[in-house]
Amino acid sequence: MKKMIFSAVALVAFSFAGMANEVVEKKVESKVESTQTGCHNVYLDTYQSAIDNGANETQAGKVAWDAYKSCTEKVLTQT
Amino acid sequence: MLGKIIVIFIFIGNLSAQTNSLSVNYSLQIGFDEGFSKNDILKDYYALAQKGAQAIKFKLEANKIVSYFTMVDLIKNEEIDFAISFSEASTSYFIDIEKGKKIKYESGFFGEYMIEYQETTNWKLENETKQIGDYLCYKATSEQVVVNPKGTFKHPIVAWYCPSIPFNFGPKGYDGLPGLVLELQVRNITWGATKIELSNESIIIDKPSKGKLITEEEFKKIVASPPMFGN
Repeated sequence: MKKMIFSAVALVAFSFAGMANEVVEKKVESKVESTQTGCHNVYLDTYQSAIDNGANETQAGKVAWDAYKSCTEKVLTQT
Repeated sequence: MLGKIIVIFIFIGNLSAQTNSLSVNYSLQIGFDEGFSKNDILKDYYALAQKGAQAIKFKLEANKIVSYFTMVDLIKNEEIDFAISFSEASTSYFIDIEKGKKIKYESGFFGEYMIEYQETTNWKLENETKQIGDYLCYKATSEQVVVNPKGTFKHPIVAWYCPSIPFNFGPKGYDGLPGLVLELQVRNITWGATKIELSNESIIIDKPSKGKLITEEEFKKIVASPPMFGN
């Protein structure tokens, strides 16, 4: 009887632990996705600003990529 | 007396005739820019680039026919990354006058590419002179025409070339002047010679073969593609 109760408690405990991991994973995934979306906008804004100010397309692309990289690094180090 | 003068001239003539190759180091300076420095989105990135530029060095190697201009390898950080991007410092230039071949080498987050190009600069030679180190240099001007989706922009180009160094090359693939370019300013970015080594030996400069050969248009599309999730 004791063994059965112990097994049931262990099963419930492991289930909760598994669910908790899933929640954490989902939160991390969601954070990465929102970072990428936000930084994607940083890329687009930087690219357009460089073009508006007379940069060639190659130069604008390179600067915008650096802005994107800088954005993702900053957001990820803050988390 | 006249004989001595003639001997001196022949000697000087021989010296310049014996210069068959050179190696020049250039530094980079990114100056204030009306557009980039005042734009709300770009101003912080441009300020970082201005700081990062101090660490960037270039090397031009040339014989009478061929030249190769490239950035010297360095450890990068955020400031240097922005300086490289604003000045397009990661682009190397190979020019072979005899074969009429010009190749740009691009490397970065997008990969490595070789791009053949045929651009020439229409120089206007000015009378203004400037002493750079031991060399008397002359001013030449032109315009960099940028055609982008917003419209056409014209940025000033100023080159200081030195006829006493009889090589028709310069930084960033700018060539065609009657002397080596020791200082070049495009828009508000300046490449300045810091060390000049002339040699009597004729060195061989091989065409680097690195990266995939593509057209300028193909490269523009690659670089201008926004990042995808997961990059």
